[in-house]
Amino acid sequence: MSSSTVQELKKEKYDRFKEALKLEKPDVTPVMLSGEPFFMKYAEPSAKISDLVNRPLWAYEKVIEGIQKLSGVDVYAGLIGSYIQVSGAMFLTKMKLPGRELPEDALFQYDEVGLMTVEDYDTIIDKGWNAFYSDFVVRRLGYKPEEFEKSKELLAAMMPKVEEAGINLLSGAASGMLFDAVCMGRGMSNFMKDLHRMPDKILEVFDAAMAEMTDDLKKQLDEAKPFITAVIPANHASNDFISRKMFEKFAWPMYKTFADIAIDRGSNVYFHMDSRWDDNLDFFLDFPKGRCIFDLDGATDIYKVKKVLGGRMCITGDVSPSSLALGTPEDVYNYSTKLIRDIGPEGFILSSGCSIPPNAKPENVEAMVAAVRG
Amino acid sequence: MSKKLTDAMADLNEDAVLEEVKALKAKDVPALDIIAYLQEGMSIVGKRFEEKEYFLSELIMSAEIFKEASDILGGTGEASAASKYGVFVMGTIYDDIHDIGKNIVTTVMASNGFNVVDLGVDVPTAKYVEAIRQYKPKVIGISCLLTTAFDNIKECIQTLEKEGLRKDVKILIGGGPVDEATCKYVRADHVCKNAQETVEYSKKYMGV
Repeated sequence: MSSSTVQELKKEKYDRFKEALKLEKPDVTPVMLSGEPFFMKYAEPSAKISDLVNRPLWAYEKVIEGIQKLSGVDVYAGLIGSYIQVSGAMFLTKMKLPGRELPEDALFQYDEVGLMTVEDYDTIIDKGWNAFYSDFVVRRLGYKPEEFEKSKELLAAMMPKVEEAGINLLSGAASGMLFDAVCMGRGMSNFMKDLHRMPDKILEVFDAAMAEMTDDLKKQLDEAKPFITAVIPANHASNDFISRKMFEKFAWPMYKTFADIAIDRGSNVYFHMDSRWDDNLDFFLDFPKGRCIFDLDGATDIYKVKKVLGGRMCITGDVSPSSLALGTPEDVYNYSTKLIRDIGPEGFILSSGCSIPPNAKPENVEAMVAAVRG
Repeated sequence: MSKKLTDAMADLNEDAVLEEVKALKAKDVPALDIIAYLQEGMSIVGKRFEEKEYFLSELIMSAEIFKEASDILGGTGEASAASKYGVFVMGTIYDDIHDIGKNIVTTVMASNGFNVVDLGVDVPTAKYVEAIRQYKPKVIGISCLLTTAFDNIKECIQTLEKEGLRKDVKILIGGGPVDEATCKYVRADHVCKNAQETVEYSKKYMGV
C-alpha cells in the first residue's frame, strides 16, 4: 500500500472514531482495541510475552504488524513503546516481569508492595507530589533513573513507526491516576483504613498533589494539543471499593477537575472505567454533550450506562476477555452485533472489556472486528 | 448482651469498641462472650454491605477493628475459636499476583463468621492440596484475574481430583474475567460474581 493510501485510510478511520465521539452515526461502528501481547503473538505466534521486556523494539514492531494484519482497528488504545520495566512507577508499585519473576509467557503484573507510609503523606503535603514521587520511585521502589531515560528513547523510536503504519493512537495525554496511585502505593488495605482514620490528611495529600498535577496537565495540553485526553479513574474509587459518599468526597473532585481542564482547552476526554461504576454514573452527566468517551471493561452494566449516559457520552465496550479466550467466533460475533444494535449505532465504539487477553483466539478477535460490517 | 459494643462495632466506631472491650474485660466478662458481641456487630456490617450502605473500605475497617479488639482479648485464636461456621480456604492461582479480589472475599467471609485460611497470591497447586488435607474445608475459593491463568486453575482442579480431594470440597472461582464459560472449562463448581455470593453459597452448602 502506498504511503498516501495508508495515511488516507488512517484519516478515514479516525474520522469514524470522531463521529462516534460526537454521538453521530458513522458509516460503520468504529473498533478500538488494545493488548500488546495479543497483537505481538497475532503477528508472530512463537513470540513470548517476555519479548516485550527483553527485546522491546522487535516486540513492538510485531505489535504494529499484528494491528495491520487485523486491519479493522480504527483506534489503538494501548501503549506501543511502553518500557514495561518502569510501568509500575506511575502507580507507586514494583513490577513482576515475565522471564524474571514470572514464567516467560506470563503477563507482567503490578506488584503492590505497599511501601508508602503515613509519613509520606506529610512529605507530599510539605514538599509536593513531584518531590515525593521522584524520590519514592527511585530510592524506595528501586527503579533506576537510567531506565526512565530508556523508556523515553523506546517511545521516541516507536512513534515514527506507528505513524508510518497508519495506526491511530487513542491518547496524547493522560491524567487522573492519583487515587489509584496512592491506594496502590500505600497498599489497598492500609489506604482504605486511612480513608476512615485520617480523612482530612488524605484530602490534604490530594490537594497538594492536584496543585502540581493540574499545572502539569495544563502545560502538557497547551504544548501537545491532543484531541483526546485520558482520565483514568480505573479501579479503586469504583463501587467495588468505596461508597458513593466517599467517592464524592475523595475521588470525584479530581476526575472532574482533570476532565474540565481538558475540555476547557478543546480536548475531549476518554474515561477509562475499569471495575464497577453502576451507582456513580450520574456524576458524569456534568460534562458537555459529545465531548467524552466512557470505556467499560464489562464489570459495569453497559445497558445501565446507555440509559444514564447514552445521548451524552460515547460508550465503549465490552466484549469479555473470557469469551475472547474461551468462546467461539459465533459467540463473539453475536455479542458484538447485539452491542452495536442495543448500545449503538450512534455514539458507540466496539471494544473488548479492557485489553484483549494474550491468549484470545485469533478467530474470535477477527469475528469481533467483522461484526461491525455485518 | 453489650448493645453498646455491638452498635459501636456495627458503626465502625474504633475508639468506642476498644474502650468497651477493655471495660468488659476488666469486669471479667468471658472473652468468648465479648467476641460474640463483636460478631453480632460484624453481622450488622455484613447486612449493611449487602444493602449497599457499606462497601469494601468499611469491611476492611471492620476487620481491622475486630482484629484490634481480638488482640486485647488474647489474639485472633479467641476469635477463630468463636467462628460460627467452618473453614474457608482461599488463594489466587499461581502466575497471578492480584490480591484485591481475594482480599475482598476473605474479608467478607471472615466478617460473616467463617474461619478463613488465606493462602495468599501466586499459590501453587501443592499449597491447595496441603491446605485441604490440613484444614479439611468444605468450600475453597480460587481467585484469578488473568485469562492466561485459566489453565492453571484447570490443572489445580485436575490435581485435586487425582489426589482424591475433589469429592469432599466445593470449588468456587471468581475474579474479573471469570464467568460461566470459565467455570465449565476449569471444572469448578460455581462462579461467584461477588463476595456476598461466596457467603451465600458457602452457607447454603454448609447447611447454615
